Amino acid sequence: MKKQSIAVKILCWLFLAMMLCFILAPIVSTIIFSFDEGRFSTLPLRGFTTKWYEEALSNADIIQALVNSVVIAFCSSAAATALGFTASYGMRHWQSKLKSAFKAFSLSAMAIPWTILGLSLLIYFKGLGIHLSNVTVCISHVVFLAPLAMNTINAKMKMIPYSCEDAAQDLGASGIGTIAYVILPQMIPALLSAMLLCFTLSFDEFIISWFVCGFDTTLPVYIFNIIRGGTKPTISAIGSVVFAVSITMSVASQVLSHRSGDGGNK
Amino acid sequence: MYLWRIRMKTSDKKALWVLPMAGWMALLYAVPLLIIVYTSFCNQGAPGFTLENYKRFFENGAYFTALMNSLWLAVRVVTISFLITFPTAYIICFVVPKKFRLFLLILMIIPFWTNYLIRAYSWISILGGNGIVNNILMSLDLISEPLNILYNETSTIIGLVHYVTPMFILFTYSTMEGINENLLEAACDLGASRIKTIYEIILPLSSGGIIGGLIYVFIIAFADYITPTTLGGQSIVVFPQLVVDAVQWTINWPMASVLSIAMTLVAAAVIVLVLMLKPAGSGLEEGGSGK
Repeated sequence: MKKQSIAVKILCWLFLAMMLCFILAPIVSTIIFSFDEGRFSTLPLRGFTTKWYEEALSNADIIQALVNSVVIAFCSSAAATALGFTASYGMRHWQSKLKSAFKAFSLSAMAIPWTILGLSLLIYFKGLGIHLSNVTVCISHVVFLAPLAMNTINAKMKMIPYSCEDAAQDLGASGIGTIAYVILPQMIPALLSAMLLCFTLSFDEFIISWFVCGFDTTLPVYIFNIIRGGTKPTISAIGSVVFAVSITMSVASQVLSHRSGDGGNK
Repeated sequence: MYLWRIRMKTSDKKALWVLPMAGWMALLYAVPLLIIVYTSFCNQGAPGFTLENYKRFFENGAYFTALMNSLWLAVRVVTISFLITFPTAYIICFVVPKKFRLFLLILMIIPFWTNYLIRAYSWISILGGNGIVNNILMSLDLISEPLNILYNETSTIIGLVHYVTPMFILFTYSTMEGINENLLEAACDLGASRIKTIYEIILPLSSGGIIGGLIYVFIIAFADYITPTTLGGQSIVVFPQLVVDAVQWTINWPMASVLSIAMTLVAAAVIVLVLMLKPAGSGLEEGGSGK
């Protein structure tokens, strides 16, 4: 490629630096204001404090919302990964023109505005007389997570040669045995990363939860109710905690899947 | 022949593993969506079949205005995010040394790890009258009075652009990464300027990722409720707000259904339009390489 002149290079790096400022500004400001004495999150800073963290973590409503969110995210991502895995295995052996239609139909759940998904599930649950609670939130989340999990898992599933399964079956493995002992062990890293992605999305999801949560609150619903009433530094504290936890989790999962990947190759 | 049939048969049996997911999606996705269509023809609070909701939708100008507001907002967000995303992806891909690329990409997607309500919320303290931006600009003597950039369309656009940028960068970068550097060298040897190389080679060859990204950005900007509500103040009413009003506050599900259907149809129409424009773009690309 053409040798880049110094001026162009400097311009490029300047642009990148500005982009990074823009991208990181909300996180940095959230963290800064979560430690600031001032009540309204405005400059100038009024001194260091951890009282917003204490306030947030001693608030029973926040803890309840956080627990709800974690449980919902865990259950829905586990269910979505299980459904995605079985569906992905089925698709591998499904030779029909309907297959791509099924795939497109499932993935459309990710693409349609979630306001609509939420509304349709709300009307559906009400029509069936199902009590709105954390359970309905969890069920609703699986609707858009399962196709996503399937898509993520598909990519890895394609890399397992069919001969692997044929060999297992020639050696007398049953259908389930083949899945449990041949396919599943090779898929663990992919399943973990699919589940992690689903967990993050579920944990973050607001509008569907808001529609179908009834009297239960998830963390995003709780935050929404607070920020409609104006700014509050406890929100910054919650935001920083969530950020710290999720970044630690992602790093941990990366390390884990890296290790298990290496182990598989050896 | 016999063996082949056995194989087909076991293969068919294995395909049954699709069923749990298919059942789930049929019961909890397809049926509810059909029920929305059904509900849109219902009377609010009374039995019977009616076209009244659709009539109201077309007669009440407020719905049309909100729809236009949303489209106009989405167009601006798509344009601005493309204008900042494409150079970023280009720089990371072709200017930055290889060892820094992954690190920079991770920095760019860090917002993924924060809750998006909190992301929207934190713009309040950045853009407010006493916020970071105004403080910096005033201390640099660039402005004498605080800019009014919070609780209006400007802050809505900033929030949305920030929301969609990380994913858009990933979309664009992932296709750009696959471009063969020899092509760029060849273009350079043949005397193409940097701008011309970008326009004639990089842009067409990364169009797949860009178009995917544009569609993603459009759907988010068109359908997002949070950002216009937390950052938009009372300045404009966007379409998703009307849907949410009908669901959560006036509890008028038939009207909410009509609005949802309208929203889906408009979004789908725009996406189809974008995808139809795509072959024209790839035609251009062939013309470019043929020269």
